Amino acid sequence: MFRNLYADTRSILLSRAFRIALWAIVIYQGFYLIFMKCLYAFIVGTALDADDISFVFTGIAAFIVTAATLFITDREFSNGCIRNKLISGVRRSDVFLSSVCGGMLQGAIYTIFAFLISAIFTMLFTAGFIDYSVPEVADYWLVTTMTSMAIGAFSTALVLMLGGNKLCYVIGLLLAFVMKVWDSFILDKLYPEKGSCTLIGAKLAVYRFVDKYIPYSYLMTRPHYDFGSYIIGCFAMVILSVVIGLIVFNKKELK
Amino acid sequence: MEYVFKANGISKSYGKFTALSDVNMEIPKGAIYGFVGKNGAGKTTLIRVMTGLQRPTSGSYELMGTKFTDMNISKARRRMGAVVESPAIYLDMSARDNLVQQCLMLGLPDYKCVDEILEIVGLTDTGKKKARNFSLGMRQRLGIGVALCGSPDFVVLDEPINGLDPQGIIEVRELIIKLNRERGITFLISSHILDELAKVATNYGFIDNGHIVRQMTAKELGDECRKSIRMKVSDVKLLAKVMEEKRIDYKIIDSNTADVFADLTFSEMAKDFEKVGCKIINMQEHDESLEAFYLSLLGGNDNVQKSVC
Repeated sequence: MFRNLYADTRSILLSRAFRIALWAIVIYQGFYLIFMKCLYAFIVGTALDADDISFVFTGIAAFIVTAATLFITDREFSNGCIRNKLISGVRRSDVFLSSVCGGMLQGAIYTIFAFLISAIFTMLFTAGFIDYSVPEVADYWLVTTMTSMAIGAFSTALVLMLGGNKLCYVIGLLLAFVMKVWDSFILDKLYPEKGSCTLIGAKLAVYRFVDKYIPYSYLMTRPHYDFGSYIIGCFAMVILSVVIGLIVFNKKELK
Repeated sequence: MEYVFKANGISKSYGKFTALSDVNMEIPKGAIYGFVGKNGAGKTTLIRVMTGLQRPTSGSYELMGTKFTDMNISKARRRMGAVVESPAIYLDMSARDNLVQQCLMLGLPDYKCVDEILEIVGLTDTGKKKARNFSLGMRQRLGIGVALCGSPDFVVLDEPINGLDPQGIIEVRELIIKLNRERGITFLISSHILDELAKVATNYGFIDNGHIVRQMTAKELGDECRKSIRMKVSDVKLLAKVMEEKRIDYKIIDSNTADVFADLTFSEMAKDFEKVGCKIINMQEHDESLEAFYLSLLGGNDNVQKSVC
């Protein structure tokens, strides 16, 4: 399993899609910084706060991680490399697990990279944080990293379960989009700007569950639950992806 | 005889569609096995089953003497390489990186074989050029190179010359012959381009509608395809006597008919036969090409490209 994981990691790091994803993160954060700088300079008239630009990656993390992991894993399928591993005697479970680990690794790398870029921008172009303490910043990035890893694992498992079918792009990206829209709605209902939450019963339970245990919602706002909830949510997503994925992939007839 | 692959009554169905039906097949060690069949005959399905990508619905097979349900089948598969449909290469990597990648995956202790394989497949001078910029022939050769990592005993090539230009076809053909002769690697080459197969294959298996119609050696096929004169005579034993005296190769078809493998005229034949009291009823030139033989076996001409024995 580990030599296969090493080989998979090498292929991810050497792939063009991986480098493109890193560039996309830099460009997005760069443009956002320029936009916010202009906004503060010409309209607000004050120095730019780090709070406004530091966590911009969380807004696109689900899409970037989903798209990149789907693309890289799907390319392995379409190039025949997954097929080649099985032909070469690598066990199906090893192929699956090392790919999922590769997906998680990608999620972690993209987030850590985004954090480094954000840290550089914060130091060079902002007046510092106003609403966040250093531990809070660390917590936020840690939760984002765990979430990206969980999404990476899920997306990779999705490609392997669907046997490289292009439907995985629709499901993966649509899910990321739907969850973003739904989570905005849930946040509005759970934490309304005016007044207090009016939800009761099953609806409240469901909304709270999504907000607390579904990793996609962790990317919507700063951490507001205990750290254990985030670990449980991300861990559950990874475990479910692995268990269901392994069952399906082991029975999958590959072309 | 030692076999690298032996199928015992393999069947494979997808719902109501039966892709393979009771397939029995043996691939002798050291052979270049030409696997012939029209599109949709079941060639690729059998290769997928053989390589472990799919499981047979019924029946079993042995790979290097290991049954496919055996726990050690993974070890047997490590002695096998394959290019199924398209070469399994990472387009963002150079030829060298692709081979190193395969070595890593196979857990080889070092990458000494990489330079050797690059030389065998003729890709030493590609440097850092990415595989995405390779021609189709180069990609095919790299795919074969990847399959050669770990010194396999058995290599499966599914339609290896599809889409190649004439130069690419020659390169791949020469590579296969070289590897078979110098390293003793057994090849299974599936193709419907009979002309090309005839240049390399030592054994043949013909598949049609999921059935193995016939298996034979290249010599047997050559005999079937040789130019001959089909003679109908009063007594085939007398014909045999004449042929043996004249040391001419022949093949008895039935009590009155035989194929004589010589370029003789009627007058030449008549004299000799008259001497032994054998009467010639009928004789006609019989020249069966591989294509004609294939068609006579499979009963159709779909997707078969021309060939001459």
